[in-house]
Amino acid sequence: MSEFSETPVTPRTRRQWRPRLVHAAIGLAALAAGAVMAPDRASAHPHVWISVVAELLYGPDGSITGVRQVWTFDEMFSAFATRGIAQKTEGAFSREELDPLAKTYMDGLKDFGYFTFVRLDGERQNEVFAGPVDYFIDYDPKQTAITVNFTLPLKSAAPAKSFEVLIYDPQLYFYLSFARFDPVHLIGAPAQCRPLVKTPADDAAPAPGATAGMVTTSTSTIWVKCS
Amino acid sequence: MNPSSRGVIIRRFTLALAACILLIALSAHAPALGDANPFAGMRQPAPTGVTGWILAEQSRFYRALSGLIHAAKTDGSALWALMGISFIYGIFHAAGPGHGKAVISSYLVANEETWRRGIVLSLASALLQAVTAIVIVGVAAALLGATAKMMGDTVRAVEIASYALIVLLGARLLWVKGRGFLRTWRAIGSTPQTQAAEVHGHERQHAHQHSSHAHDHDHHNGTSHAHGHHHHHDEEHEDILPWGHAHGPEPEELAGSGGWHRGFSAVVAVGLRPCSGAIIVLVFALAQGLFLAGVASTFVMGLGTAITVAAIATLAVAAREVAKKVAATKPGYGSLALRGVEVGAAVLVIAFGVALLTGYMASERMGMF
Repeated sequence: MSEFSETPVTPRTRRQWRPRLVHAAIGLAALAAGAVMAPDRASAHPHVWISVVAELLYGPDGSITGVRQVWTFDEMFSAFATRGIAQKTEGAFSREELDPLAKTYMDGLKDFGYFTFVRLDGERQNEVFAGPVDYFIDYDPKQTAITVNFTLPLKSAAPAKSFEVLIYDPQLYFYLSFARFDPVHLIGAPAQCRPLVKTPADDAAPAPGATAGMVTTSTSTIWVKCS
Repeated sequence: MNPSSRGVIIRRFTLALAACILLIALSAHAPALGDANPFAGMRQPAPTGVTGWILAEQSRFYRALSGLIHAAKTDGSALWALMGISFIYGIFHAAGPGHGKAVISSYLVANEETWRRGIVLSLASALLQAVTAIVIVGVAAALLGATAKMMGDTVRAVEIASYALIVLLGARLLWVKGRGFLRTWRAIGSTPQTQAAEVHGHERQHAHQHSSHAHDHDHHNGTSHAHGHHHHHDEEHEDILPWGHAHGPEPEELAGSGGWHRGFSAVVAVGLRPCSGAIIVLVFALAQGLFLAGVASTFVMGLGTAITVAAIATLAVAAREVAKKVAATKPGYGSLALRGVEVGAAVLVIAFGVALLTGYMASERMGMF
């Protein structure tokens, strides 16, 4: 009797199988996808916070010849970075004492393109910088933070209209954001040019070619407008 | 409950779970992709949504941590606040991507572990991470006066060892689970009774069907079955074909000291590598003359991390359990599919290890300076 009571169920059960297995497979595939995606980028997972001041260097003809930057590291990373470095006076480091550190940083950053990338007319450019010059590290005893200063000259000058420099760590291990005050300086730019500090919304972005350079960090873009 | 409504519930639950997992994965990463990748052509004024919020919170907590360590120098009560912030920071920090969760989750899925063991393994690996960070900073920085570069090199060496262990762990899982998969495969192909069950359906194998559906039927129905045959069937095939609620091909490996020993290797593989965030906090605390406060903060942070990792690991185990329940209603191929999932998870563990070793998946950048 019991055999027969179960028998009619069987075909239905077997037909339901496939969709169920498919859904189970979807669930596990989603899990796998989540697991794979997760470590691919250390996005949203910064360990070091850097505030950036960027200086666009303009040539006499109004083209852009290079980018100078001042990175202020957060207090905790600064303590880590300066650990074990000999100092003459307690609580302070001279530029000379931090000179080896500056060299280390420039070497280390080289493999990561100095986290400084260039687009011309929206097209990514490769190997545009001639390498760092005039680099040094200062220690600010009041903020107990190190500032890394370096200049990246362009191998060949770029038209300001199409120029954009992007300063960021694609993996967001370092979170590079604009300094709170006056984060973009224009050096040698035509007198009527100003950085547009208040970041406009997407739709308010200047039309391509209406700018004289752009600087983008992990957080936002600042346009240079000349009027 | 009749089988069809049960099926609907299981199906809905599976879908809901899949949706949750996808949502977590996407919400945490999709906005970040556009944001972290300006070359994709997106231009966001500032990270918005979940990513923006997580970033803002992390930044706030990070500043609060350094502020409280400062404050603790003069005010002992700041230590309590420091512990609270460390705990929450640990939870947040682990909510971001990291290979620990991925490897532990894949390991649990591949190895048919219970959620309890998932929690214990998560906790153990998070605490080991804390210990490694404390040992590195304690010995290198506090005792030997090492520079950041030396500490970075040490971390790098430990990292490589840890990633190599992950590859080994995956390889071992693949060996064990691959064999299980092949055994199930062969058993399906070679057992005439099984083929009968698959091809001709229920009538000729009612004892076997009964064993996997036992909980679905009335007891008086069950007693009318030949119980002798049922047990005989189970005993004969459990080591070859894990039907229904039977465990994997090596049940003795799943519990007892051998099982815990295996779990230990996963804990070491994942937990050996310290979080560079903890190292930075420890060095900062050391510089402020509050190393012990840093040690306590690191442990509390590890506890927070463990909670997040355990939650995700539990999710992975739950997903696997649902799949297992579904598979249990389909003898033979159902368990073959499960074995396949285990093999896939084992391959995933190897893939993580290789990606980390080759730098394709760079999760830490402590060694760069």
